[in-house]
Amino acid sequence: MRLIERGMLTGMLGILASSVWAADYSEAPELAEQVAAGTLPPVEERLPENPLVLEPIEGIGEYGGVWRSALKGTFDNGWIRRTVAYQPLVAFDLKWQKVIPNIAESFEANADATEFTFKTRKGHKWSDGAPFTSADLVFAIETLSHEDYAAHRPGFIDWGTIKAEAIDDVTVKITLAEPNGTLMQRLAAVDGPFIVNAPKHFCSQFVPDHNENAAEVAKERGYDSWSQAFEQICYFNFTTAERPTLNAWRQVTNYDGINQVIDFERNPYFFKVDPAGNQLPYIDDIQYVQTENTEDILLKVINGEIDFSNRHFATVTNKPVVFDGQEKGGYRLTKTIDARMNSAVIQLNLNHEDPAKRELYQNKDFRVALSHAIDRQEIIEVMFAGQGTPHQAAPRPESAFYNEELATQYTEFDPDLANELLDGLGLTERNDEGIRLDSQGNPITISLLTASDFIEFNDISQLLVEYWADIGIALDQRNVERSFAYEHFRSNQHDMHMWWGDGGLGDAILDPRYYLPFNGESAFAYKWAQWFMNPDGAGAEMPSEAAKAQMDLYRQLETSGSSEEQARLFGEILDIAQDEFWAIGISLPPEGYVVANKRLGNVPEVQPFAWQYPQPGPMGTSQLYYKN
Amino acid sequence: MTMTTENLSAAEADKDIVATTEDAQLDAVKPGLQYGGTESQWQLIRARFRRHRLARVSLWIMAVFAIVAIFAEFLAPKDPHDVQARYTYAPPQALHFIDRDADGWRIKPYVYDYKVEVEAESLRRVFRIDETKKIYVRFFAEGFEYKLFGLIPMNRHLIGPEKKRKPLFLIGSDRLGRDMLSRLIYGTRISLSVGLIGVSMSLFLGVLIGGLAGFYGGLFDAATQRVIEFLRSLPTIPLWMGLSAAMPRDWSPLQIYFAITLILSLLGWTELARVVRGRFLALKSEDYVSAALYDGASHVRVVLRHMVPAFTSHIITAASLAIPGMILAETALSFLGLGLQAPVISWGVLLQEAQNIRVLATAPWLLAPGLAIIVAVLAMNFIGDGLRDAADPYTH
Amino acid sequence: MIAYLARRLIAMILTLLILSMVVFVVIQLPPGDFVTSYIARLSSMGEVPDENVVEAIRAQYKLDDPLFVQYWAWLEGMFTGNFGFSFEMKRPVAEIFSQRIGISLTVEILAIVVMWGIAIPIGIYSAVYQYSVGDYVATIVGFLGIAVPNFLFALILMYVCYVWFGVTITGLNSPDFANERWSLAKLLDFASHVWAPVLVIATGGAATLIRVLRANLLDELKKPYVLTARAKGLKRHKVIMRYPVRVAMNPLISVVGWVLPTVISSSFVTAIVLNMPTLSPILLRALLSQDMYLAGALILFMGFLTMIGTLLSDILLAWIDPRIRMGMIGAR
Repeated sequence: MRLIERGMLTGMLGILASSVWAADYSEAPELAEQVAAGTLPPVEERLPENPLVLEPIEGIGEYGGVWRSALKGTFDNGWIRRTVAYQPLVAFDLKWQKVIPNIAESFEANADATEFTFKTRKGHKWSDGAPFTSADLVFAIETLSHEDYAAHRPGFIDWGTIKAEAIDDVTVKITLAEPNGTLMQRLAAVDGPFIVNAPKHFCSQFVPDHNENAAEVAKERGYDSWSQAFEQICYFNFTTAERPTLNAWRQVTNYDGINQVIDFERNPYFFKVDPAGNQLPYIDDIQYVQTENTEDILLKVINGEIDFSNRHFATVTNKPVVFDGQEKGGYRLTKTIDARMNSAVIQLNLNHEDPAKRELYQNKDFRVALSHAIDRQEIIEVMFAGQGTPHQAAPRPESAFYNEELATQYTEFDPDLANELLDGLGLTERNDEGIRLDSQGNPITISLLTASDFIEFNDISQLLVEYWADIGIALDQRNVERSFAYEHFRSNQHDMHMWWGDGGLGDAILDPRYYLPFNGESAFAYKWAQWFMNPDGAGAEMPSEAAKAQMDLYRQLETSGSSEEQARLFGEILDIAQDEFWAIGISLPPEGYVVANKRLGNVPEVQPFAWQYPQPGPMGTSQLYYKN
Repeated sequence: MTMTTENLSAAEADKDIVATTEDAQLDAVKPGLQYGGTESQWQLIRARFRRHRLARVSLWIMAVFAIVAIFAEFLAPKDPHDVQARYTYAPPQALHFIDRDADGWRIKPYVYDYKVEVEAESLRRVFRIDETKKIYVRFFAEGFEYKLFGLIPMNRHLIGPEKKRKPLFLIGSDRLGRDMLSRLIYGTRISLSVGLIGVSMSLFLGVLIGGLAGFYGGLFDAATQRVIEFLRSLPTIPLWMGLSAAMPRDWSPLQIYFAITLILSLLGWTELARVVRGRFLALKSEDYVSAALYDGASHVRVVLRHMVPAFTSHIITAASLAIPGMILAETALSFLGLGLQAPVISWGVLLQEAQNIRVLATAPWLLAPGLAIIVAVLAMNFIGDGLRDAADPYTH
Repeated sequence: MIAYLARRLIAMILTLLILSMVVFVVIQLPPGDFVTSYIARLSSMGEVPDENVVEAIRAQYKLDDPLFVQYWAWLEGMFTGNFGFSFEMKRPVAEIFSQRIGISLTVEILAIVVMWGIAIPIGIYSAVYQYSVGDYVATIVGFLGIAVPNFLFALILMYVCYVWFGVTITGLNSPDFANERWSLAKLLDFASHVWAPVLVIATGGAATLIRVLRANLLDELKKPYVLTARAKGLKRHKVIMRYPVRVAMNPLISVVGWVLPTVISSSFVTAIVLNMPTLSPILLRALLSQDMYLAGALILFMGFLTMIGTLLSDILLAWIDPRIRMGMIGAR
């Protein structure tokens, strides 16, 4: 509840602040010209009655300039969502500690987390000047929960039972059948903006309830169904620039894989102002160059053709090059704290189809032995130039859920102990190559497919091969196309899977994939995770007692409205994870970095980096400006 | 592509070759007919080959490559898979030969040790030459254990640091602190053998299919021609991509290695088949072949005894020109991430690891395999060129 | 001539048909399908795809139907001018095509022209002055083109241009011009970018042409008529340029057909490194994400282009050389 109260408070402050300045707004010169020419209404009419006053990181900025950036390939929606399109109803604050009002002026939830009320801003307008009202929010929810809708939609809502109701023009009440204590955070997270992405006056043409010819409209645009058309145009995609938006910049060029440069221009109806009453954003345009490879992006960065980004190129390997290029490229580096808790999480398949392997992998001592055999300090030295500390699959030390025991157990490099443990399991027989034989007399060979586009995984695995060979375990590692690695474990054919340690900070509770069999990413127990999602599903299998206990706790957590209670329950889940030791971690990932043009103002020096918290979005990119 | 020319001028060219062959065979009977000696066809070709200076030099270069490939374990100073955590991206060390100290000087090769510092800000290691510490380089030094030719267990290497774990990176180290020189040496073996085995397979297919088509002609020939035309009309890279992507992922590196070679040769045999077919077609109508047939010689005998010698030189030429194509193809596949893969070391794999701005900017020595590829491909091309010139009758 | 043409056309159509089958099978060979790679991509962004949606997509695209049903539907569409639908780009393949084909062909044709521009003088020179220093230098330079892997050349070129001139040569237009209409300024901007890929692609193929030309010219130069002409007092370069070079160029025409697949293949890799808005990056993406209608149509199209090229060169050759037309010797 504390989160929500704070949100209310900030909202109230917002109202007070804005009323002070209400009379005296100013705007970008190019907009002033249009107003003078009579092609645009004056700024007071374009802003809502109560605009959000954005407290800048450094100070009041100046209008003008282009923010240049790059997209990789045709599907880099993620970067647009992080930079332009993070404009949710309620938002995360810069430090990712609380949920604050954004498009919603205020919000509240009832005690058992089933009723959520949002109040939007009176007079708020879409980028085409049409009014934004509670009807738009209701429309988005009703369309996505339409029984015929068969495309993407956020997974955190039970679409069968959700109800949305417009109380008046600016008030919406969302009612759930089951309590959902994490809903407010979900709405502030990366998938939250779905609810404000569909302007009813434009998107209703794709929905059969509002337009009899919706199917034809979809066909005309080359889509197979109305829901596909809706997903492509009114959800999170940027294939067409037609859709009106509430973002600080509106799209000018279609992002369709054909255009080489995707342009965005200032949205004259944007709802935020700075404390001096200047309508945001300061920067005129955003220019995304579509490129095909990371090296090209890196080259643009060091040549000073990228103004503010850490997308794709900001790896440990590239750091020296980017660091050296600062002077020539006219940029500086700021920091990100990686929300991921691990540079690589190694998951043995506890649900293996082969009973012998399943038995072996389910044995905790076996996993502990593998963990002790890893020289984490050497990996840190080789891979990350000494940055980072050994860490298991556990929330980060900065996190409220930090569990020191879970994070550090079995991390010391001790091959003798590992050998002892394996001997203790009765795996004493070895073949000529020194590989231990399992109970069936076969040499213990673990196969691991790593995704070829992440060279770090390949390198770490190469080191693992050596470490585990020393304790008589063979690791057969292959580099494969990423989708093959996924296909492999989603059909439960894998012995082992390796992926980033997602869920280290605020997202631990939202995506606890490594702490319990939770979703399709929990490769250590894919079938148990299926059971958790749907006990009657095709690949589902009854989990172990411990996993089931965790699942029960998580269900309780979901239905709890109080954040203290949620934290307590999650702590219990982590305690079980510590006993079970599901997955093996390597090290805390090193600090990330962001390239920022030297002239760019209001750049945060430190920001968390995650997907759920779509950095840099929550900083409020509309406050970026060029110093002259 | 070059086959085009040869086919057009095939009739004429072949006649002359045949003439040469006949001369050689008839030397005993009619001494001094044309070339005024007892030189065989091969001696003639060799003599002409020598005149192509580039080809001659190239032959020596390839000989060195071959020796490197054969004795890779012995020549590599370090285990190419051995990771040395402190020495990632270590620059090459200069090899000094004359050791001076207070007592005077002697010939004793050494390198200077590094001083390594980590710059926390830029996340990199900075290497400085530490002139106070010398690492002596020993000949026949003890190093990692291996089996020469897969048989004789040994642990001596041509050169090595006096102490096993001391850094000796004559052409630098890679991102995991592995010795580039050793990796390059091991890569030579794989890359050259991909070329050789691939070409052998192509050669087998090409000679067999081209020979049959040329000898029997008719429907089989027409069908073969269509298949060749079809294969040649395919843009190779996408097709390779499809095929490589289709390989079962649970194959061992050795299986993948052979599969890649097979894929390359499956598409590479067409050129050879074309040459062989052209020659067969031309030779078939030669009098001496007809004569042999009328004499009652079996087809096999006619082919092996009378026809094959007449175009061996052309096949060797075509084959030597196909090898660089194979090597480059392997590299291209690796670039797209579909060729051989680590832990297998090939030039393509090494280059794939080096193809980024970081390497270009801070560790250009990792491009050494590129140099090896260029030299090898050039050399093989020149050898092929020299062979062609040598086998070309018009040069006289 | 007409009979010859008809024969060639029918053969071409049959070959295309077989190609379409092979292409369809090859793009189906990699395990998994579009949906798997779609999931992998989402997961790498940290998203978790909804299982129900996955099933819906699978059904929508008939991915669970037998292969031949999918193939037949594809082929049927092809005949009616419907080249299929790109799953990823959510638009008809024909539309993607029409927007990129112009630029692809421009780059490729430019590359071929430059390739010939490099190859013909070097080829003539090194044949006329066989085994001279110039021959060796020219040959080495020519061969360097073939020996340096395309992607490496492109990457180094890209980096060198950055270090020495402070420019990024990737793409075919600067961002400021990319969305503009064609104008003189845009053309100049285009020229300042296009030289790089053209150079990379051209050098890759030039060596082959040099070798063909050199060998042919050597053949011709040794012929008695050259000697006769020389003996009669014709100037050396006049003799060479007037007759042997022209004869030696003949087979080069037929080489055009073979050059095309090489050019397309090498532009494939180059375009990806240099980030060119051609069809190549689209094909690579389509292959990696198993967007099979798009990939299939593109490969088929490249095969088709090659065949047209071959056909054109054959017709040209038959027109020049009656022996071929009459079926006395093979076209190639």
